[in-house]
Amino acid sequence: MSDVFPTAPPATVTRLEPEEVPAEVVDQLRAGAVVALADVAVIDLIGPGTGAVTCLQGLLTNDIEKPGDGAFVYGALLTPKGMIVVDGWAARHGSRVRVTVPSEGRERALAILQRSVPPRLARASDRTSETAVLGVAGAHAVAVLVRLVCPYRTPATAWSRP
Amino acid sequence: MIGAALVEIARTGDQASFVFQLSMPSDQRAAVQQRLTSAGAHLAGPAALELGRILAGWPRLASEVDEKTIPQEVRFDEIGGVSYTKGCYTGQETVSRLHFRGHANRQLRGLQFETDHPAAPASGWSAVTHDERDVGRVTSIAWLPDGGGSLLGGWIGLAVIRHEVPIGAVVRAAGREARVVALPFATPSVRPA
Repeated sequence: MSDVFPTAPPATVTRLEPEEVPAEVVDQLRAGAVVALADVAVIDLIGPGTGAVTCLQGLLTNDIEKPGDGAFVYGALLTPKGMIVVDGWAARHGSRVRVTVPSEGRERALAILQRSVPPRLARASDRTSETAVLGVAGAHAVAVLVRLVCPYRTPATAWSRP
Repeated sequence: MIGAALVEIARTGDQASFVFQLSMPSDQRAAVQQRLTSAGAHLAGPAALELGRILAGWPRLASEVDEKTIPQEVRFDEIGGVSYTKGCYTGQETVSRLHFRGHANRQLRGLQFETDHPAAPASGWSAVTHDERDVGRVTSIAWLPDGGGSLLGGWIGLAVIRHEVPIGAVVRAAGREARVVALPFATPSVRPA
């Protein structure tokens, strides 16, 4: 294992037993909206100007620059040989990029970001303990968020897709 | 702002297994959850998001993704996880070479377990065989209760298997017969009018 680019963990089988997801939750995924706490780690990459975006652009498989501010893209950090170290979502907010990765990948993501990003351009900090992340899924998720955040708008115009 | 909470809301693309990610200070989570449920959302455990991930055919670190996984093996092309026009990034040579000059030897596929009486695929046994050859491994398994459309009341799963195994093939996976299916799983959703 490289010090700078640790490898992904050994694989195990994810298993959801019958009692773990009740039928009504499946119904809500198909015809409603479900909110659940996401099992993720949160790392903020903050730098002056566009430093954070520029640095992550050189590490992530996806394009975080082109979509502009407010972008929310999925991608992975790789080893130099192209193997996945950790996957996750990156959200641009001005001079900060918030990276959410599976909790199992927290240390690997931090290791790469802290060792690969020059401090003069950006700094990575672990915000996991002070940040909660909720995922909202389901066919009516947009309608629920619209009702909550901007009730004067319709689902079709409230959020544009990336 | 949602109520008094400062919440960052991000929306995913169409292929993702969830629609929104909301991040907020930890001490404001309960209040935000309460507002969401008041607006019509159903509060569930993390397993609900995990089932959504499996149905959407997205990879998970330490299940579908191990120390030797390259992005194209776990549907990064299909789910929009890689850009071929952005320029250089760490590991890009391998990813680009595979895209422009080759193909991944392994693919992430769906499994629909075929049992008259639903029986759990064996735990601790992840091998996938086809025509008596070892062709890959099971990575995720889930019970889909009634309400899942055509898949209702059955076991489904994800597997990383050799690309030669066609969609529709019947394989032996985790000790059970299973049919290889395309991803995402076909679960009809009911959209707002």
